[in-house]
Amino acid sequence: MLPTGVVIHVLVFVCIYAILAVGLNLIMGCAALFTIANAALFGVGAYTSALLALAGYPFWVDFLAAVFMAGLISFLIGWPTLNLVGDYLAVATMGLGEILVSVFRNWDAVTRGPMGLPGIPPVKVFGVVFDQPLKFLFLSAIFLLIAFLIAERLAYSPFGRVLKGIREDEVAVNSLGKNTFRFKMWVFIIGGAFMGGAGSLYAHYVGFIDPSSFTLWNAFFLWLIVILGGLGSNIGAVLASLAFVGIRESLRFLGLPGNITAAIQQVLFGVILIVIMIYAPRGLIPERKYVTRYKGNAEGRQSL
Amino acid sequence: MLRGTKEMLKVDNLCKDFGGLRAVDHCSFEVPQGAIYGLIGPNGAGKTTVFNLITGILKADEGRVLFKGENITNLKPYQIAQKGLGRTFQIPRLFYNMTVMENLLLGAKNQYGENLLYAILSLPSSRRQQLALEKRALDLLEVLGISHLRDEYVANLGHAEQKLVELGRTLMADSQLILLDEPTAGLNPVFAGKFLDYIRELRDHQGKTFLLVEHNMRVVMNYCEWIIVLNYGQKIAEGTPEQVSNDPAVIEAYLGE
Repeated sequence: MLPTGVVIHVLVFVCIYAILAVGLNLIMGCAALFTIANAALFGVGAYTSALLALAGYPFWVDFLAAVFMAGLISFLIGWPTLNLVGDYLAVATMGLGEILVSVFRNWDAVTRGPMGLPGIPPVKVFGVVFDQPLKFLFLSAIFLLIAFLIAERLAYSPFGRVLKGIREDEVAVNSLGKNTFRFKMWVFIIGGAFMGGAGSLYAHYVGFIDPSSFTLWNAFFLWLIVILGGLGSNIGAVLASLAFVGIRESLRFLGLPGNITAAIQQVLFGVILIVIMIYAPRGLIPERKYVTRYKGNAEGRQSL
Repeated sequence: MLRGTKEMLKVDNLCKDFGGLRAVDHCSFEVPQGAIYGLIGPNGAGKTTVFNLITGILKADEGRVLFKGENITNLKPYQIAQKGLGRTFQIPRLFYNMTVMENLLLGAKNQYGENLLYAILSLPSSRRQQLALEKRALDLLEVLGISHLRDEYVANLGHAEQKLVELGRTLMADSQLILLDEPTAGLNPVFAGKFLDYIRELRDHQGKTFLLVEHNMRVVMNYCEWIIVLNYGQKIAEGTPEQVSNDPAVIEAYLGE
């Protein structure tokens, strides 16, 4: 049985990853924009937050700055790339994401490069210091709840319907008078802002960040979560975060050597991916079906 | 009413090259308001290309397209659609993993809930509008005879039903001019007749204008008041069904010398 401290630690990570996954689900699950810049945006949030916190700014300032910065960078990434489709978008966002990680790694004067930024102070809100994992779990759970509710509203609103239309057939959405570029841009910014917020929480929780936390492997780990949770399904994204982050973080506490843990993890995820894709191709919890709400009878007219 | 007075669509000297191939060659025609016009021609004559140029999916190399007197040449497809020009596709381009109702609702323009803030806050004005749109969509589905399929995924529907959903979606957008790309392809003759009767009814009662590409000559002769014939991207004839079917150039294009 795992000790309570480990469970709490794992759950904090689950919350942070669930915020990331819900953000990515809006972009990738609803609108089918296969972006690989997600981990880099997580890093943008973490670095923005860490640098401001180290400069003495209060939590809410550095958190909002992280959200804003990630949204802004998403906009800058999206502007040239969102006219690309499918694989091309994935390749372009991968390149831009890697540029961001390169900046983290090489801008020594600001990010201290591979040495990372240590000593990020814990969150302090209204005089309460969230320095214990249990306290931080409360905080991150509240942020997850807010992120989840926003994502649910968006996914099942007319806005979300346009996103799903883009996923199905973008030309058709355009032919109905909707500027698909605008919708894609907005979901890119919103999803990116979620990732920035998650990065801020991560930086404050761990207290130390370095570029290795925001690499491609992390980007694909998030893909795995969103795809296995069910594309377009926010609740699926949260539950898959619980399952995969749970597995990943728990493996670290088994006491095996690091290289073996990493290998076991990748083999395990590969097997799970294959099994779920065969037996539940729409994911653990598929997207909810839309049901007509209007209950009155339609006017009886002569039918075709 | 053969030709209304108000001009709905004017295609003026339109040209489009694909590499060395001239797909549309100085093509000009007009469609008056409240008309049902046909665009015909042998395979590869450039009919669908003309549709794609009018709706902005392709950029014209030369010439202009006027919609209600306004120059819409090379506007973006969504801008053209917003002005009231709708279309269907040769193979229905539907949102297959969404329900019939969702497909129709996506057709409606100016929805508050498409604004991010309205969507997140789920404001009452947006919810009321959505209910009203659902009612409108249900009325439309009732007329089309598929209201029982409202919550069915479009992918599970038959071809004929999918064609109806696509038409319904365009009607939800309040389009005044609707371009129909082979509306009866793949439909049995009885159903095709019903479909076109409905098109005629929409014209008679709501003043909608239609331009259709069609291969089925019986349909063209019975339902179109005026026919434009293309061959190798050029307009080779236009006129009433009788005039066109007796035109030597048309007969040659279809049957060869």
